[in-house]
Amino acid sequence: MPSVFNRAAGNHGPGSIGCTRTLLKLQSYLDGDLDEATARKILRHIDACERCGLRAEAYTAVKAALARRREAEAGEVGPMVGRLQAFASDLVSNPPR
Amino acid sequence: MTADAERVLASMDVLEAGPTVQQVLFTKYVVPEIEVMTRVARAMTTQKADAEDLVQEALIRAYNAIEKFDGRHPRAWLLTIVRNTEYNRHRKRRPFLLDDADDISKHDSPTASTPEEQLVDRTLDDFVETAYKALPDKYRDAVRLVDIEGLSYAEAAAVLDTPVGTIMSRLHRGRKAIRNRLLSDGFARNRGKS
Repeated sequence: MPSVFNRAAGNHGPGSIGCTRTLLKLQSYLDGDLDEATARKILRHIDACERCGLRAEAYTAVKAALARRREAEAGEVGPMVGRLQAFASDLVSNPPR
Repeated sequence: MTADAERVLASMDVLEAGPTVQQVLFTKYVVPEIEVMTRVARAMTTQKADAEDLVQEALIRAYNAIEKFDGRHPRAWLLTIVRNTEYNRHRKRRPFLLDDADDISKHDSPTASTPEEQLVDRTLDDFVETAYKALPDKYRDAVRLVDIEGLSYAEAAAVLDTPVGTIMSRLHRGRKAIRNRLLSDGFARNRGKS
């Protein structure tokens, strides 16, 4: 079958997987939750397929933006964590009877 | 062992009889997780003071139960204690994280914003923030625990008392809703360009 039809169906060569399976597994791939062989197939697909590649970039950007929220909130919980560590120390040194 | 845990253990040297098994286990397994317990508690509560009270109560429960803990997955064990403590404290007042409304579409309306707000030079983080806040509770909780708090699927499942598969489904749908919202807001770009 001519390769153009493979591309149209989202296939990018022998042993590769298509767009449908890639989209099903894309977020697990970005979370590092796939086995190595499947991850390699996903990587190969998103390198070759612009549409899936763009989706991968979008999800990566969303995850990075959300992770930055954690850093932004660190200042808010920091003093509370300090007080709770002191509470834990006190709990250990003077256990409840 | 973390510096905080070492400090707690050092403070026990002054005890006449030396530390008990309960004290050592608590210091080893619980103290290093106080920060993540606090962050999750903060996400569960509307008031800072409530979060602090919640963690204090959870720490006491953990201390009392530590000798029955098998030593595996301490974070998941502790977050389960935090969740159960919160549930017992406030289930009549606020069914946090137990919302099981299933239809994302009925929640998926944009948050209200003024034209001035829309005109502000918005970065990607601003767009994501807006889209994140517009998520239905159950999707937002999964996204918060995994993407913001950095928990694993299993740890988030322990907090929300749901199967790991459900967490993955909610997380993926939540991220997809954020991505779709960004696209509808016009935040799209060509591959390889920022």
